[in-house]
Amino acid sequence: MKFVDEFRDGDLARRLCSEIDRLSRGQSLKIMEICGGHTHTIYKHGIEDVLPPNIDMVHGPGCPVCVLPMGRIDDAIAIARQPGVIFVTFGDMMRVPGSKSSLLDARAEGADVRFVYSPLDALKIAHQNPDKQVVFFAIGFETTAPSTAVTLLRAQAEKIKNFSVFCNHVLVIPAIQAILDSPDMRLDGFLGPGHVCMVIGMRPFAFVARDYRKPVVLSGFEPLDIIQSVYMTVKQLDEGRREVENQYARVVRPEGNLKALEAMEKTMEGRPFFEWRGLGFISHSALKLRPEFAEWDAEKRFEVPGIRVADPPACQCGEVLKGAIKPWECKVFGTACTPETPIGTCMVSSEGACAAYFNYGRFSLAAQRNRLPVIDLTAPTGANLKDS
Amino acid sequence: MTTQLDPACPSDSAGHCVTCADEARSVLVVSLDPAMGMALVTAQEPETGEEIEDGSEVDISLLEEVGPGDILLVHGGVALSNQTRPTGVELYERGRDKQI
Ligand code: SF4
Repeated sequence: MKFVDEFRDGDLARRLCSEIDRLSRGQSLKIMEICGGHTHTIYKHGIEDVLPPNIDMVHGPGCPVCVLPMGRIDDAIAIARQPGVIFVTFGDMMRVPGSKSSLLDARAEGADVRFVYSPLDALKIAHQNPDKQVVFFAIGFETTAPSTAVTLLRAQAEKIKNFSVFCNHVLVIPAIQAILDSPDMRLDGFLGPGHVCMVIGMRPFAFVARDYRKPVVLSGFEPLDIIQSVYMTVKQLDEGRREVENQYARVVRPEGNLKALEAMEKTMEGRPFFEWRGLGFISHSALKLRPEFAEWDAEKRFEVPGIRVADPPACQCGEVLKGAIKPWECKVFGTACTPETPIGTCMVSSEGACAAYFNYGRFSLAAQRNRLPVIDLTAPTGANLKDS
Repeated sequence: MTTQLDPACPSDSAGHCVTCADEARSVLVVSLDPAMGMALVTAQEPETGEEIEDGSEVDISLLEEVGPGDILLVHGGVALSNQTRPTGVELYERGRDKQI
């Protein structure tokens, strides 16, 4: 990327951090970054280490893999195991555990499960295999839903009959509202998910500032983007303003991408309820195919168990996803639950808060801040945690 | 120093998963196939600027205008934003500002 150095200028980062320190005046402030991409940048670049200690970054539910309940994974596996089906998914979903197994296990047992980078590739597979039923496992927020919508419109235009979509797209705004309404939640501001906003624009976030009196800053993904967004949030708080501001103006347009919204509107509609792992049922928080697209709807074409599966009792992903606890505060973090043997979804995806804590050694910082035994920061993280 | 373990969910060379991150990647348009609504693009490694993908195709049906040399943001094989050209709404607003 041509301008990457501009967004990683250490001096500028330090200057911004001292401004954050000055404006926040030692007040304890909790700021939630909603997006998994932001969580990743924060851990990878050690942003928590340079922010003043009174600024607490709370990691939100912005990883679409982490929030998918196990029952939906079981449904996907049930479709994949049906004879004559080619089940196509993004690579991230292959190892996500359902209640008994994963899609990777299903493949090892003979199911035809393939991974792609785009739903359009799933459509190509359908073209190449006219005697098979090709099912695309659609997951993701509003950034990913347009690619599913475009694929459905192409399937309709090309009259492709052996293709369908198992739709699990979720929506950011109802999740934020659920978090804001949660009684155990105390947040002072939000960093908005930059690429979701590239699609939906700025307006859907207005209620957070207006009704809940919390600042929202739509943020980019480079380290300086995030530090500047924290600065803008703290500045709003200091000046008594509660607004939606756009730090990521080089990408986010106030109106979003109108053609993408139109494509989503043509092909999908809201589900009355959808279960989010860790957050429970949230109304109007997910999308399903419109009745006009019923012939491409895998839930209409195939029998799925549709059984709700409770999270393992040791799992505290819900509290992590709401920011009520830090990943390392979960009882099984780094012991029974690791990226190699995940118990909860926050450890499954590399964007999940627990996996990021584990992989980038944030655990040791958390230990220092909380006066737990300090772990050697120079040692490989995995070794630290395995030895502890 | 930290060591990356193999997470259950595979990540790219920059250490994260584009889908999980709900993140778009930046590509450069090489040529267009307007009849199919597709563009041939190249992508660069964000960390090094090194070309990592040559000649992949992306859908451009959700953009108003695209030309060779434009930089697009792409997610799931579909371009969602043209970083080079203003949108119709922006052009309208610029015109309106001038009138005011
Ligand atoms: S450590 Fe594992 S079980 Fe605990 S919250 Fe994280 S992912 Fe969930």
